[in-house]
Amino acid sequence: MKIQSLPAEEVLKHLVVPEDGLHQKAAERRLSEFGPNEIKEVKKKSLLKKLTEQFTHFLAILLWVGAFFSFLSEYLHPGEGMLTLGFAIVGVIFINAGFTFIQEHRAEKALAALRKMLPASVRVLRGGEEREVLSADIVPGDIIFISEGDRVPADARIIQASGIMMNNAPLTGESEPVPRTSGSFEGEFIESPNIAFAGTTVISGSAKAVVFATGMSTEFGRIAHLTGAVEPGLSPLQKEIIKVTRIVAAIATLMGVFFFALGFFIGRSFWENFIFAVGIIVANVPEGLLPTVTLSLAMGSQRMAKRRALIKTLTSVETLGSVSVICTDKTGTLTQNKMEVKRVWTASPPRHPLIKEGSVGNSSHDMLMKISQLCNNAKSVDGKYTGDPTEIALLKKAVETTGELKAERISEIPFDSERKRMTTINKVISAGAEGLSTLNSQLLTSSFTAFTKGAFETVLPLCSNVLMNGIVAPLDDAMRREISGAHDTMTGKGLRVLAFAYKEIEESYKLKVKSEKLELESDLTFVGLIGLEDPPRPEVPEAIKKCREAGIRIIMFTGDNSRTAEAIAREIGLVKEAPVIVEGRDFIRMTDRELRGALDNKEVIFSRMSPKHKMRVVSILKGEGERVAVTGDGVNDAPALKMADIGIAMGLSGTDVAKEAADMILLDDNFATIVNAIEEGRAVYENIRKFVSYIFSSNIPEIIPYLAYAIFRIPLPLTIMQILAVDLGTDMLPALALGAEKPSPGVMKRPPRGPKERLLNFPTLSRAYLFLGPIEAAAGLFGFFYVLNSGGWKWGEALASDNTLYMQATTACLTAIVISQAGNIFACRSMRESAFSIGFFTNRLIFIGMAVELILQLFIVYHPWGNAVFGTHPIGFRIWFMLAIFGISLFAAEELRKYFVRRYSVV
Amino acid sequence: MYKRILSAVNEFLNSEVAAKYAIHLAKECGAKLYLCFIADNSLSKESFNRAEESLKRLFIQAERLGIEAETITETGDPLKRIREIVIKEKVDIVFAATRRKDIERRFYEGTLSRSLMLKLPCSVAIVRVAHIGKLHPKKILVPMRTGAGTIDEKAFFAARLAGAFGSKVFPFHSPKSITGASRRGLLKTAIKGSPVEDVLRETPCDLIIFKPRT
Repeated sequence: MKIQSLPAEEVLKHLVVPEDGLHQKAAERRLSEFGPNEIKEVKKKSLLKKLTEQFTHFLAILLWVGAFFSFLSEYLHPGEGMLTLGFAIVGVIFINAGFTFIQEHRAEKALAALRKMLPASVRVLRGGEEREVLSADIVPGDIIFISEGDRVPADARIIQASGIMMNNAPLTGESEPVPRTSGSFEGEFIESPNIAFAGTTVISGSAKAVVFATGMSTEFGRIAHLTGAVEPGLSPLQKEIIKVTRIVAAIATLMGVFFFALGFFIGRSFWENFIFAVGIIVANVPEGLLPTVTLSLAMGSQRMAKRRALIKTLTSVETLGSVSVICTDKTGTLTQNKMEVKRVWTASPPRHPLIKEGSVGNSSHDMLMKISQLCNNAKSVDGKYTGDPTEIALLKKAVETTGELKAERISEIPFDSERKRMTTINKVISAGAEGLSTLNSQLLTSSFTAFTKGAFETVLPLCSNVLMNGIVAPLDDAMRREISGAHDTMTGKGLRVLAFAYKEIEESYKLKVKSEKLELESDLTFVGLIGLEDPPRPEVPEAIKKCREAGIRIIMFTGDNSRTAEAIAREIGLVKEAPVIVEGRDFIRMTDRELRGALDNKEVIFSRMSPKHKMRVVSILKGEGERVAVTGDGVNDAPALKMADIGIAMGLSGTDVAKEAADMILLDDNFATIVNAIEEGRAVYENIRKFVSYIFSSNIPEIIPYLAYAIFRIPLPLTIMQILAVDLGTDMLPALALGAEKPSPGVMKRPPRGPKERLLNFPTLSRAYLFLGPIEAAAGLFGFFYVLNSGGWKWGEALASDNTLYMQATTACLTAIVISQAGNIFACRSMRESAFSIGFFTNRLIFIGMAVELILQLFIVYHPWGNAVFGTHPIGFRIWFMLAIFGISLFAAEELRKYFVRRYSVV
Repeated sequence: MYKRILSAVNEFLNSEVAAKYAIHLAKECGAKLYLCFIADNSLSKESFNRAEESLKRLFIQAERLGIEAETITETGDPLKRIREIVIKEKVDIVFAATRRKDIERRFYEGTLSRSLMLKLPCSVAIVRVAHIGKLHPKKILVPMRTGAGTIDEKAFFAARLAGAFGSKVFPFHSPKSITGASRRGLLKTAIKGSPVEDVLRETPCDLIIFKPRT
């Protein structure tokens, strides 16, 4: 049974509904059978489960084990500071969990936005009585009444219609009102004119309908299900962070176990080995990495907001930087969505293909303007125009040319996307501007005139005559060819072309029956063509050029025809060669393999498309390994927006549902903003790599002292608390400052990073571990031994942990690392470019970060609290000056390395 | 393969809709159709009458389609009686509808639908009706798993159903956890949950849980 193909009188029978509606008990039974009419959440991970996962991933488990052993060793062997360490590790776990949770969690509001589109209550016929019930209590079989302004509560089959027009935009994306009928329909369910879909709105008229689907079974519920069910998955950055933490955790564990065993082998005690192993693990794990990543993403999202891109999920900041394909709408995103009349064509001798607008005295032109004005639903109130952008453009042009006409609209055959035309019957009452032709004066006295406008291919076939300079002549083949030629010329220039015609009629048609409509729209007199342009946004060609240089592909989606789409694409530089153009009707018939083949082409345009097709394209592109950004503004864009790596909603014209489903909102609806956001996103990734390099550099000077301690039996040069002082204290703010670096000059001149490209790759690791790290380690050990030597220490002499000389020596080691990192912060500002070429003072946060770092170190060294917590002791300032040489040396060494890299193009 | 099809009907609308799947399959296979209503002893007169009216409508529809149909109305234990009828009449496949409380209950165990699946000596198709206006599927998604011994009958069933409605069939390779999960025990269901329950609750289209004859 297809509900749409049943005659209206059979619908009630098939749904087992009496003529006077369901009785209350029957309604209650059906409510228990089918459930309430509501949009439900798809089952997902609970908040608690998401939060718990932050404490149970690999790195967290490693740290829990470390904390456990610290507490255990404090219990069994107190006085080694292991209790403080244990609490510190637990603190690290909580900090990391909190920051990761903030990054990943976003309250799902898309479904709440969808729910708002359903009405709260609805009029139903129950047991012969018409009454108001809650929308949630509507059941299959309920007879409902809908009229102007009502939202439809559930999918319903119309059984009586009275001039009802509906806005089906939530489902189809088309805002043009569509007529609904009660007659049977043999076509597709979604295209059926006898179905009122849940979530749509009645624009005018009224109807009686029988509900057949409620809640999640409706088409609206299907969109909600798709929107709610799509799990975004981990972002590329999240996957990288997980990889990094696993690599680091593995290295840390291996080193800890290895040196634990080595310690036994060389005869050290269990506790010495244990402390050493825990220290190695803590030294290796970059405890500050996750908080720094989160804060850097937050800063990146703030910068994007200043560039008119509002980021909703933090990880999207970086995901933008990896985008390889942008699937973008044309109207409103690439163009200004401000239609303008650009060309007018009439068949009037002398025959010019394109006449100047506004030439008075040409009767065909005047008639064209009259039809534009009267066959039009846009309105002008106090000089402000409202309505469809195309109709506003036509109305403006007509009023400017011929002045305002007063006409009584008798009836209308409204526009619909199938017929692609509209017809009005008007009785013109008064003229506007002077100089109207005789023909128009005649029309003023005539009873009624039918005016038709619409797509060229649907209007011309209805015409049997043509208006040529006041004369109605038969429309012969030669003239048809000439009109077609003019149409092709205009569409070739990227214009949206409408055709206009009219017919004088003796009396008004009631237009209640189909035959009347058919008769009215026949034997029309063709008047002319108007070409409209939605001009591209001025910034778009430059933005597209930038994308091309950055290796990002752009795929355009439009409802326009292929010629217009291609012309616009050429105008903005989107296509240069022969693009592959896929039209909506071909798209539906294509298999996935054929579609993949089409998408393999460099230049692809999708024309005559509707929003529901986008999800399929996004899905295929993602399957091919592309990182996809997609734009959307309608309710039915929501699933595609959720599925894409970056869903981008329009801030000005977008629906609440689209905005909630998206990861980013364009505050100005401008395509160029997407490109700016991508640039920022790439910069964020670069910056994350910079501070990863920075943070990892301090690992080596934290590990080497332990190795020296284990191998050479010297006092431990750096305690675990001092390691944490660096990782969670002094390193944090400078690392964050690196996150605020501006995009490097070449950031949009490289292709997007490939899926195999790692955040922590060999060049980054080797730079940190094999170059910068050893310099810092040397600085640390120098400071340590210098102080010991100055205090009269002899090699092999054991020192207690609370010995003043020992504490001063460790303080010197710590200070050396911090000062080296201060030099490293300038070195890490760029991977290849000299620090002087990028502008020393372009990032003030660096200086603030460095200042805070040094102030913190001063606190650790000289304040009693710092001394108590970190086991430090004040040292002389001359030691600072000595150690400063290492900071400067590190910076100089790194400048030299970059010089050789640039010179010999070594990565 | 299916020469005798039985559809269990009760007082609820979705069982009538589910029976329409049986009617179309019977038409496609040229099978005899048994429309069977077993009234529980505690059933009210009103519910009894409703079920009988459903039977009548279904019988008329079957006759119009040229299907040999028989209605059976009895009182007693539905599972026991249906089982007896299946054995006596050598029924090949039984259709039954789920009820809302079957879906809402935490454990799929203990419902009539599950009992029918486990205890009847024939194939069983349990229908979850999501959309009473679209009893004419255009697309049928069929999860398949390699190594499953009853793939022939599953394929036959899907093919016949597709033939009855002119639908396209989309087989897909299903993870282990979906197919065969209806046999999961109570303890395992309690610990690991039941994918059958999840599918019953979440799928936004009509669903048939098909258990081929073993």
